[in-house]
This record gives sequence, structure tokens and C-alpha cells, in this order.
Amino acid sequence: MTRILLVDDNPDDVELTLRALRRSGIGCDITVARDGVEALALLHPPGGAPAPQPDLVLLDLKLPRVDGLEVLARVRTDVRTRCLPVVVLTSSLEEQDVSRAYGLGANSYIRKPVDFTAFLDTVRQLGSYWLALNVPAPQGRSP
Amino acid sequence: METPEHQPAADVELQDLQLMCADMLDSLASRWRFRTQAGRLGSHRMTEAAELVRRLERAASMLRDEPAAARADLTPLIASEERFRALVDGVTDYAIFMLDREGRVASWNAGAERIKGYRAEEILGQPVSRFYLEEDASSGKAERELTIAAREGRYTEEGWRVRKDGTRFWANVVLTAIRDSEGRLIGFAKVTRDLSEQRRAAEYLKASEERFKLLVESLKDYAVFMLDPQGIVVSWNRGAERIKGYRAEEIIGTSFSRFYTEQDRANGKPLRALNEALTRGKFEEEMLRVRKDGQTFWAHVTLTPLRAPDGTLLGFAKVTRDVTERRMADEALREFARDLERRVEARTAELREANAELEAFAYSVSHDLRAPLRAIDGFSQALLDDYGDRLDAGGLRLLTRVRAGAQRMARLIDDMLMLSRLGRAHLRRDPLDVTALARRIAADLERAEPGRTLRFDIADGLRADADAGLLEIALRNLLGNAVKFTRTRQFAHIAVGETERDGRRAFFVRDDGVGFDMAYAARLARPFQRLHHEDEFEGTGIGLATVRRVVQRHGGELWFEGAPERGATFTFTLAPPTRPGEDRP
Repeated sequence: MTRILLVDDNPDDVELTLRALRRSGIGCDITVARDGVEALALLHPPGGAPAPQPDLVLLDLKLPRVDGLEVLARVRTDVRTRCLPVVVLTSSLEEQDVSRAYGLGANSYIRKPVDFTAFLDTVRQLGSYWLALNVPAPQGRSP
Repeated sequence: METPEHQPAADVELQDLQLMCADMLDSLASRWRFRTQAGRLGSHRMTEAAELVRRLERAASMLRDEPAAARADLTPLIASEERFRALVDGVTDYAIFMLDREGRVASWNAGAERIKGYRAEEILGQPVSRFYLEEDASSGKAERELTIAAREGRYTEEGWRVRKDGTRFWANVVLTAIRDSEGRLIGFAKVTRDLSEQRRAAEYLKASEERFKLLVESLKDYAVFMLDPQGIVVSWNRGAERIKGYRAEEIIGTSFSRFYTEQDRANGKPLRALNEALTRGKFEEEMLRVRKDGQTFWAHVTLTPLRAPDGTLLGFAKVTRDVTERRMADEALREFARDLERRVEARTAELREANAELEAFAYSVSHDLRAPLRAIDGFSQALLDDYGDRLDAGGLRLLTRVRAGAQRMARLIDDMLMLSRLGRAHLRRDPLDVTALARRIAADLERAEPGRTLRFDIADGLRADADAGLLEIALRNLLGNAVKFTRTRQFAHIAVGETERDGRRAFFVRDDGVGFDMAYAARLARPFQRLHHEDEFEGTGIGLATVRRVVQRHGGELWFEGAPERGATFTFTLAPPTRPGEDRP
């Protein structure tokens, strides 16, 4: 069963994204982290023990406590999650956010459209690409 | 030679000889003296005259005791007397003539004719008073002079004399009494020299000197004075007194090193200054000087050596100017400029901060406003999806409008954000290939509207010095509008090219679409103002406002023309109007 980690602090956005994922027909297990702290706790459990990794992380940037770019940075520096597919899913189209996200190693950058129909389509494409088409890095072994 | 019948004749002859001797002696003597003064005769004539005088003197002394020998001596001299006369006659710069005992003119020479204007036949026998000014003649000046000459032997003076034509001239006059061997007065020899020219020159020089002194004196702001070759002050002026504080009597005769500071004196600066003036021809410097009261001040000093025509050093001319005020003014100006710079920097920093704040605000606003919009649209759709079957057509329509509203607001926010960013973005001018840019945008637009036939007519070689990003935004808007508003046409025709507007080169974008009514043209470029209804043509009304903002940032101007159903033309320049002949769009 494919697993998606959705990191977003906005309950409306979370609900709409879940709805979109459901309606896209992608069968997957979805975990929600409401901020960077929760996300990192899930991805890098303390003690160094390996944790089951999700197949895709949908990461919002504007989060309380620890924000999305910080999460991205930590994810990429930790050997356990270095190759984890991370798609930034945010409303911001600010150039500096885009360049910093890519600079820190995001796989992709998607701007959340206001139009829900368009959003549905986006999510469908995301799921289809990253969960069906993309070949993930082998788990448990890092280069 | 001696014959008895010549005895009486010999006596007469002797007398004549005596007369002639005396005559010649005195004339020569006075003339010789005069020549020395004026330096007019050549040295050979001087020798000749001296020789004649000597021989005449000897002959004259011999006359009484050894008349025969004297006569023998004189005979050749008589011949030379002719020569002498010729000499005298030849002199044109001096009037040399004889007067008899009563003061009547007895001889005349070329010089006398030249200087006084009379020919010999006109003046011989006339009294000498003819040559005097009327007032002098009537007061008996001529007689007085003759009396003095008779008594003292000679009379000299410089005074006014009159020419034949009545004009007066300044003359140097020597009147010599001529006596025979017994001491009897025979007559006078007169030598007159016209000093008019000399006098004029002397007067002119004096006047010039006066003027110069006046000038130097009147200079209050400049100390102008002279030093001797050792640097001793030999002259002073009012400016010097004012600037340095010394009165003339206090300072003349002392060394100019007094004006230097003690340190400079110790370092030998005054002497170095003099030397430099001598070697370089001038010494110039701005430095500290000392006043009489001990106060120092900033002075601009020039020291120039003065030389005689033969090169001897006469001394130095010194000009000193008090530049303390000027230096203070300079310093004040510099301080003011520095202060201004500091203020400008502070203001710029303020502006930059304000801009950054604005940027952050715009960013967070746009971000934070979109989330609720997403919620509105998303949940409306969710409502439609999940409960749509329980809604009638009216209800469905209402929900649709809710969604439309949210989406429109999102677009508005984006447009506003972009417009505000356009106003603040840093403008960079690069040479751009506008043709290529337009063609690229046209291709994108064609791709986005596959069902339509769009004909783009983009002129070749369009170039501009502009900001690439901003120009692209502007062109995208203009071309996008052109495509949008030609939708009603089967074949859309859109042209991009160059034209002339107000004497300047400009670009234009023209379409043959629905156009607009010029009566409402004023509203066209205002943000969010539209001339069409949303259901006719979608849009937020920001497109043209954006174009105008881009054009304005470049210093250019935007014009638009249109007519309903006859298309629209948008013309713009991308640079402020430049000087004639230096034009670019």
C-alpha cells in the first residue's frame, strides 16, 4: 500500500487535498503532519531507529514552529530520507521560495490552484506520476 | 708776411682773429658740452672739436705776445673754421647761432631753422626776444638772461620758447658771452635744444607711474609690495597694511621673513622661496602667514623677480592674498556636500526599508488571502459533488457563482501583486530583439488557441533598449488582448511594428478585432477598468494598466486608438524624449 505524508497546517487545505486524493482514485495510506516538528518526528524518529518511509511527501512551505524549507533541508541531510520524493505543494509562487526549495533538493514544486477542479486534476497527475510512473529509490539501502 | 702798409690792416685782422677765436672757442666749448649731454655727435667729430678748441686756446693765449706765431697757427684753423661752420651748420638738432652785443641775431644754422622755423634772411638782425613767449618778452626776460650771461659768462635754463608759427616748445638753452682779449663783450653764442619730445616722454612716464601707484594703492584685498634682492621690504600698499597689519613705516627696511611663521623661518623657507622665484621665474604657494598681532592666516603668495633690461636683479615683486575666507567657504561647502550625502544615504536606506516592507506585505497578503479562497472554491465544489443531486438548477447555479467569485478574486490578487511588483522592480536596460520576443509570444498564443486561425504580422529588425522581463509582460498583455478581442473574427489579423509618434520612434500592436469606443478610452488603462462585460470577454482589467506601468517605468508613453468593430492600435515608446537627432523608441 502506497503511503503519502501530507505536511500542511491549514485544516481546509488538508481536507480538500484528502478529498482530491480520494477522488483521484489513487489507493493510498495518508498520514497528516500539521507542522514541521510533527513531520520530522515521523520521518526521523529519535533514537536513530529506521522508520517506515512514505512513498511521497507533499510539503507545504508556510508552517508554524518549523517551516517547510527547514523540513526539506533536514530530510535531505539525513541518510534515511535523502532520496525520498518531496513535492512542494504551496500557494506561494514567489521566486525566492521556488529557488530555495530547489536549492535544498525538492523534486518538484507545485502551486496550489484556487480552482478546485484544477486542484483535483493536479492531484490526480501528481499521484499518477509519483506513485505509479516514478521508480523510487530502493529503500533500506542508501548510495 | 709782415708788410708795413698792412700794419693797420694787421691790427684789424688781429682784432678779427681775436673775435673769431673767442667766437669759435665758446661756441665749440658750449657745443661740445652739449654734445656730451646729448651724445649726438660721432666720436670723430668730438675729437675734431676738442682738437680745434685746444689749438684755438693756444692761439688765443699766443695772440697778445706772439701774434705772428699765433697767426701762423690760426691760419690753418681759419680753414678749419670753415669746416667748423659747416659742422655747426650741419647740426640740425641744435639751434646754434650768434647774437651781437645788443642781443640781435648775428648768425643762423640749419638746426635753428628747423627748431625755430625762421629762415636766416628772416631773422638776422632781429632781437632775441622774438623767440620768447609774449609775457616773457614783455617782462624783459631775454634782456635779463643776456645780462646774467654777460656777468657770469654763461646762462642755462629750461623754459618755453616760441617758434615762427607761434607754437611753443620746451627748450634747453645755453647762452655764452663772447669777449675779446681785453675782455670786452663782443656778443653771445646761443645753443637751443627742442626738448618737446623728451618732455612728453617724461610726462607720459610720470603719468604712467602715477596711475600704477594709484592702482597698487587702491588694491585693498591684495598686498602688493617690493623686496630688494635680499628680501628687504622696500615698498608697501594699503592692501598690505590691511592684510598683514603693519604700517609702511613699521615694515619698510625689514626683512620679509617676518611674515613667515616661526617654524617656517627656522626651516629656511623664506630664502628657499626667493631662490625658487629666481630659478623658476615665479614662486607661488598657499600657506600660513603671520600678521603683526601674531595671528596666523591662510595666504596665497606670489613672488616674482624683477630684472633690469641688462638682466641685473633689481628685487622681487610680492603679491599676497588673504584666502582664509575662501578656504573656510570651501570647507563649509565640503561639509555641506558631505552632510547632503549622508542625508541622501539615510533617505535611500529608509526607502529601501519601506520597499522591503511593502514587498513582504504584498507577499504575505497574497499568500494568506489565497488559502480562504481555496477553501471557498473547494468546499463549494465538494458541496456540488456530494449534494449536487439534492439541489435544483437554481441552487447549482448559485454554487457555481460562489466558485466563480472565489476564482476571480484569486486572479485579482495575482494581478494586483504583479502590478505592485512592477512598480518597484529594478529596471535594467539591455539591447533587446523585440521581433524575436514578439514572435515567441505569438507562437505561445497560437499554441494555446489551436482551434483558431491567427495571423501575426511582426516586422523584422525591431530593437529596443529595455528591461527584458518587463517588456515581455507588456507584450504578452498586448498580444494576449489582441488575440482575445479578435475572437469574434474568423481570421484574426495582428500586426506588430514600428512607427513615428510625436517625432519619436514608437512600437505598435494592432488588431482588427472588436475595438472599443474612443469616448471611453480614458478609462482603458486604469487598473480594473473595463470597457467590455465579463460575459463578453473575460479579464480583470489589469492588462492595460500593466502595460502602461511598464511603459512608464521606461520613461515612455502609451497611446491607444480604436473604433467599435474596427480593431484597436496600441502605440508606445520605451524611453523619455531625447535631444533631437538622438531618438530611440
